[in-house]
Amino acid sequence: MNCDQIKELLLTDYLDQNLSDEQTQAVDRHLNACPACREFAASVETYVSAPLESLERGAPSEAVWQKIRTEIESEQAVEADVETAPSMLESWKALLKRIRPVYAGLALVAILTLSMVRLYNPSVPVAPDAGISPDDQARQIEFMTYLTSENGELGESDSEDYAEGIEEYFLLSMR
Amino acid sequence: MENISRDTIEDAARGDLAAFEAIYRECSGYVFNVAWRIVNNRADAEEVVQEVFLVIHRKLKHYRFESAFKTWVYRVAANSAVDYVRKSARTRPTDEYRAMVQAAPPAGPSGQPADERRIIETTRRVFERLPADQKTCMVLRHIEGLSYKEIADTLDININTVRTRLRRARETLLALRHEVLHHEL
Repeated sequence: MNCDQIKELLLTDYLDQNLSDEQTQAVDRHLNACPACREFAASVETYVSAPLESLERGAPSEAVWQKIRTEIESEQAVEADVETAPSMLESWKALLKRIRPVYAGLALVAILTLSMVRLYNPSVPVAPDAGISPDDQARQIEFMTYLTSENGELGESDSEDYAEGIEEYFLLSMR
Repeated sequence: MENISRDTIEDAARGDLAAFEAIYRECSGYVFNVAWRIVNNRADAEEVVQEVFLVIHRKLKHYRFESAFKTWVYRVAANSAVDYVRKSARTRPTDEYRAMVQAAPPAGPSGQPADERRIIETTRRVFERLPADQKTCMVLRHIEGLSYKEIADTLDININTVRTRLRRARETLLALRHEVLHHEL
């Protein structure tokens, strides 16, 4: 090994005792024979290795743990609130479940109201393009005819009899 | 740290604060020393310790025992300390180095090499100005006594990268040391 290789090892694996016994002995032999490398090794020991190993060691103050503990307890309290509080979706579902009978009642009232309006006020116009099929329209006409008929029989046109009755009524009143 | 049992870790992960305090009592010393040597002062190191243990507490439930707990804690500590230095922009090598050289301890009356205390003090101040990645390797090697393999696992880097960073850091220490001594003379 030349001096550059030795210096590299002195700064790494030799200093950190990663070399095999054989490699260590080879470096030692070089140091014995090379004053420049020996001086370099002494510098590494004096100015790198020894000072760093004698650096003061410390410990955090007790206040650090108290801060950590407070923060953790605060986080745990928030997590507990999140776990116990129902989600917004769940809240809405529960509310809708509770008022379901009210919805059903309102729907029934609406259906009955519409039915009554249609039943007792047949003149309510129906938009021609309201999506009513021709069959439905025919049934509606038939139903209206029935409502205006005197005997209420479907399928019979008694308008003629009715007209005669009116004539008789006027004739009688003119007398 | 080897004294921490798997049960203690699992209890802490389930929210047992007493178990987590046991982990803190076992690990906070070396977390503090790693942080202290990377961020350079005690107050900042305590902030890093606080951050490290809050991160550990939040991530403990995801710890799967695939790596040694010690390695995992060292990794969180080293990464947090380096992040702290970067965020606070405390390393300005040129200006800091100039200030350090100008503030070097005065030489003795004879102008001879400084005594052991001054060597330690000067080395410490030079050490503080090393790049964060080199300093982290040096802390784990010299302060905590980790092997190259343990440092590589902790920092998730190649062993040869560990070797290179240590060599460069030591070369820097020697070079700056010579400049400081020359200035003193």
